[in-house]
Amino acid sequence: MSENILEFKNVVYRYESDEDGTMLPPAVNGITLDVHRGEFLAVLGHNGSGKSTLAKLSNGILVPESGSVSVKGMDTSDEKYEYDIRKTVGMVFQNPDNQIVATIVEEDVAFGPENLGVPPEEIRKRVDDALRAVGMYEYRMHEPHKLSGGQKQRVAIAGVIAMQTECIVLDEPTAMLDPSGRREVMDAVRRLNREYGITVVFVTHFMDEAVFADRVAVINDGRLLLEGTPHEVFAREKLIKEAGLDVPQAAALASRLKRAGVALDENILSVDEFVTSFKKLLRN
Amino acid sequence: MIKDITIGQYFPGKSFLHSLDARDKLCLTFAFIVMIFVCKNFFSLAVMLLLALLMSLLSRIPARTILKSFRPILPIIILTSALQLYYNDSGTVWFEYWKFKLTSGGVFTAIFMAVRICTLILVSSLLTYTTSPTLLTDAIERLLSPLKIFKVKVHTLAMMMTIALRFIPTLIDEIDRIMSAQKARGADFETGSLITRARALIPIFVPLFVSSFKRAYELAFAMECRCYRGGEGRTRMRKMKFSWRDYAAIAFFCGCFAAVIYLNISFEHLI
Repeated sequence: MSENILEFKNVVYRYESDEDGTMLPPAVNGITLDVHRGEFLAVLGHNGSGKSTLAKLSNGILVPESGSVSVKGMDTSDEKYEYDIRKTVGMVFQNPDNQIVATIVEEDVAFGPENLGVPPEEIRKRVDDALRAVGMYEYRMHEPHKLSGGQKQRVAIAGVIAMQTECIVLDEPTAMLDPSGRREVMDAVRRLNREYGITVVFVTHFMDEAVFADRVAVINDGRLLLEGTPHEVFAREKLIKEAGLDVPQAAALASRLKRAGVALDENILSVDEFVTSFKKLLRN
Repeated sequence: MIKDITIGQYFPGKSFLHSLDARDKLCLTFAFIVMIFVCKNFFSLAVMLLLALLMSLLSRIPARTILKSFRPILPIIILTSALQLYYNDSGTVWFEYWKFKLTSGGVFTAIFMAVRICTLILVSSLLTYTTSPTLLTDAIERLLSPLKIFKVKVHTLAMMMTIALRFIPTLIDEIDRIMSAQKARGADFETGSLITRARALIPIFVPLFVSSFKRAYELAFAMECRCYRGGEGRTRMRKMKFSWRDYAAIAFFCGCFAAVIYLNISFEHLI
């Protein structure tokens, strides 16, 4: 099952300047990256690194200037695949307010399947299942504008699940949320990946969120800087700091303690790992 | 203050009124509004008022919420009644002072007008209170679908209405936020002449427009990502089906309308 669901090949993309229509320097500059079926890939980068552009390239909202992006072998620059690509790759954006269409939660979740022409009974079932999957079933009759940011974002995620896409790309879904909202969204996304086997591409600038991924890709200045498991990537502390990013807090603390001579385990990334390791140390 | 607007809002529920088919409710509301203008005396108006009150009971919406929806209309009601009192000088004169004459005809017509407007507001707010905007626009889409033969884009119209309704609360929040931001920088919206105050609103509406365009742009992206391709090949989660309740409601309304016409004929006209 290690086939690729998404393939970026030497992708270059430049935006046009708003003022005079000239081309700006490339936002994505020759990225080659594969997304494997069923994995949880975190794409990290600071503001303006090109990570959001990469997300928009993944389902044909943007089409590369050179190089190619393909979804299950379908080239995103080919218009005849547009619909099938969007049926395969769902997307969740940063601002939850601007992606909710309907005035009632369950009606919004139904929007995607309705567009796909799914029969009514089936939509009903999918909507209920999707809302349960993100823990928003009790809110199905609520008005979206009365929900918290984290809840709205979970509704948006449910909207993609109800379409039964194989892959879901989240473009900084937590950037506008408070810490508890971030945790809600993170938990929902991890559950989708683990229990439903949906491939997740999670674009973020929060290091702590990347720790949960199977694989991390770090983007800097439109180029792929690093790629590997969280442990491999965050071991390269110097390179990450050069990209204007930081290692996760728990990892930073662990490495400073180790430098000061505390015998903690190697490769500590998450708070949980830190606590286990520290407890072990205290017991000995 | 601005958040108190309840007109056009929807209160989810499971009452008799909620369970009626949206198309049925829409048509009955239209018929009701027409019938209110057919009423010519207090007897027929009383039938309509009772019918409206019965409906508000069946909607199980708290009376306070309903009363709140009258607040923005109050000036219009008062103005209409006042004009009737002043201009109508039929009937017996009860009281006279300088140019002002209070006559029985004036008082009765004023009351008649006020009750008529209130009933109108009550029934039309009940429609939106008990029908989700999506269902309502769906109903409009279906009722207008015969217009498709004239190449009217019914689905596009309905979608525009849904989105407009969806963004009202979002934009109200946004106005609130912009106003607070401007106030924090010393903007003054409360004092000065009408023109000064109107001018103070410009710095609110410019950012509001800019952000609305940005929202529209993002929403269009999001809708495309969810495979939106217009009305063709689209299905609906909720099927619209007439049940016995709908037929019962239609029959009951017809009965009331017949009573109105009968009372109009058998008693003298007030207006």
